[in-house]
Amino acid sequence: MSRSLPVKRSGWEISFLGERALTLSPELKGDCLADIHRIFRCLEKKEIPGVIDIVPAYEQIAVIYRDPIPDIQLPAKAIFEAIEEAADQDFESRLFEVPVCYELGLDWDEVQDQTSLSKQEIVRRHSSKIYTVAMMGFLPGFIYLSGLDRELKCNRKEHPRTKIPCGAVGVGGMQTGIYALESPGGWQIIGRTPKLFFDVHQNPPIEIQPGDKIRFTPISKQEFKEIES
Amino acid sequence: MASLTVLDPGFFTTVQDNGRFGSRKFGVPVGGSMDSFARRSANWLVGNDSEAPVLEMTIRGGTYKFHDEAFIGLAGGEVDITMNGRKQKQYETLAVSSGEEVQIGRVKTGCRVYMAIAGNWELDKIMGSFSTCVQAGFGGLEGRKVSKGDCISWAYSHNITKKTIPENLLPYFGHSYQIRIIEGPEWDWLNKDEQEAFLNLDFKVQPESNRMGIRLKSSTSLALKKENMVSSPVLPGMIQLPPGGDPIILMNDAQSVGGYPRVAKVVDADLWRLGQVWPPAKIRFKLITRKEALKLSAFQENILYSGKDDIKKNEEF
Repeated sequence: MSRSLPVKRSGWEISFLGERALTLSPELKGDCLADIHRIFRCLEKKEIPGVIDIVPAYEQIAVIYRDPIPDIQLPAKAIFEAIEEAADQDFESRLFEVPVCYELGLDWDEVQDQTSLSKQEIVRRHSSKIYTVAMMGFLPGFIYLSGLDRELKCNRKEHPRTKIPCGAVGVGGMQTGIYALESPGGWQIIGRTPKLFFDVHQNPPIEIQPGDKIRFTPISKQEFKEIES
Repeated sequence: MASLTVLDPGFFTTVQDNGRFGSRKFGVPVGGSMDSFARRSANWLVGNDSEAPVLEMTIRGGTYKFHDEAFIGLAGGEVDITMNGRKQKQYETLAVSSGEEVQIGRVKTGCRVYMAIAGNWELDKIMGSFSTCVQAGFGGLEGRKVSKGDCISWAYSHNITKKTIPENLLPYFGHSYQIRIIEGPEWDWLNKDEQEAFLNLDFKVQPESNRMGIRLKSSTSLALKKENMVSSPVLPGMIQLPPGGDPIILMNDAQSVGGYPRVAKVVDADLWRLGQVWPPAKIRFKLITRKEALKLSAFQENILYSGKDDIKKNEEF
């Protein structure tokens, strides 16, 4: 009745995730995001036959196949090969400059309260870091960014909003992120970008990929309006 | 080009095909018909590809005025169908005349009914699929549910052989479901007693259930004591156990990553049944092996589309 044991090689293990997917995780948990991204990019480039989706998350990558997988050995071999190739490759990580109008934040009182920092200081700290696109998910185009200044850590809202405008920039726990589409959500909103990230009429709908970098540039309301139009 | 106008969209009707692939890394849900077997059946009736788009009608079908001749097929939950007031049979190819109004009633069993129309629909694919993703507002008809006055066009298909779904493939949707599951990555986070409870409890389907997930409640809460987990990939069918102890079965429009323990997964072969559960339905889980699950999938993969029309009764179905 038990699940089959994971197959291991090169410090990574592969297990089944249902009938048509495998998960790939490092044997040693912890800060492995850079490895996850490197392997994710390598798997994408390899175009393994039968693979329809590859989903990176913090400590695990899902590799989803069109058809059920009868035997783990064959697909595992192709994935391990990608991991070994990835080990000595640097992937191209692009830096995206994202303009943010911090004036359009919705939760400034709460965020100043929680961090015990002034708005100016929060803006300074938030816009001086370079963040890594950890993953996308929760809703289409929601961009999870890692690398938040420790002092800017904020609890999620007790009562999540039912509607957050597209482009909203928020802080939730030790992460910051961008709501690329209008959606409900529980993060503290500290600004908004006029930049449109997610265009469903394009395939791919978004230029940014997990593993890329983002830096926020503060802009005024006036500049926000100009870029928006 | 043939067309129809929506006179009454029913309760909640969307365009759905077999789903959207290749965009999960951007957080895009798979989408697609909740009852994939009904989509296949409806498409089979009109000679379409099994993956073609259909109208997925929840609870109540609505009224559709056809401006041209058409062949349609209706599958899924049982409904009353009339064409210009004349009662029609479900689960067989129906020929609609130009100008006729097709009225589809309220479901009597299950909760979703599917209408296929013979021919290629005149619709744009978004990220490779016709499926509507309502929560993000794209796909199908401008990313929203079907509304009064909407028009759907298709390239009329002439050569249709009228078909009837064989009796042994007619689904039965009652109020209590046995759903087969396999162990999820965090199955061991439940201790032996909790695992046993999970497999012996009756779970009631909650009214907040939708295309994103089916929410369940039982007499006993299965709250896990184990620490938080980091957000990890999830798939439709995955059963999450949030801290409150009430499981959620993730469905077609669910997110691509989730932060709750993935204790089990509904086998792919039973997912379509979940597309028909609605309160006050009850669910009981049965644990099977992955090997058994693959066998079930293999049988369903070819159903109606195997090229042979001599479908034999299969006990496993």
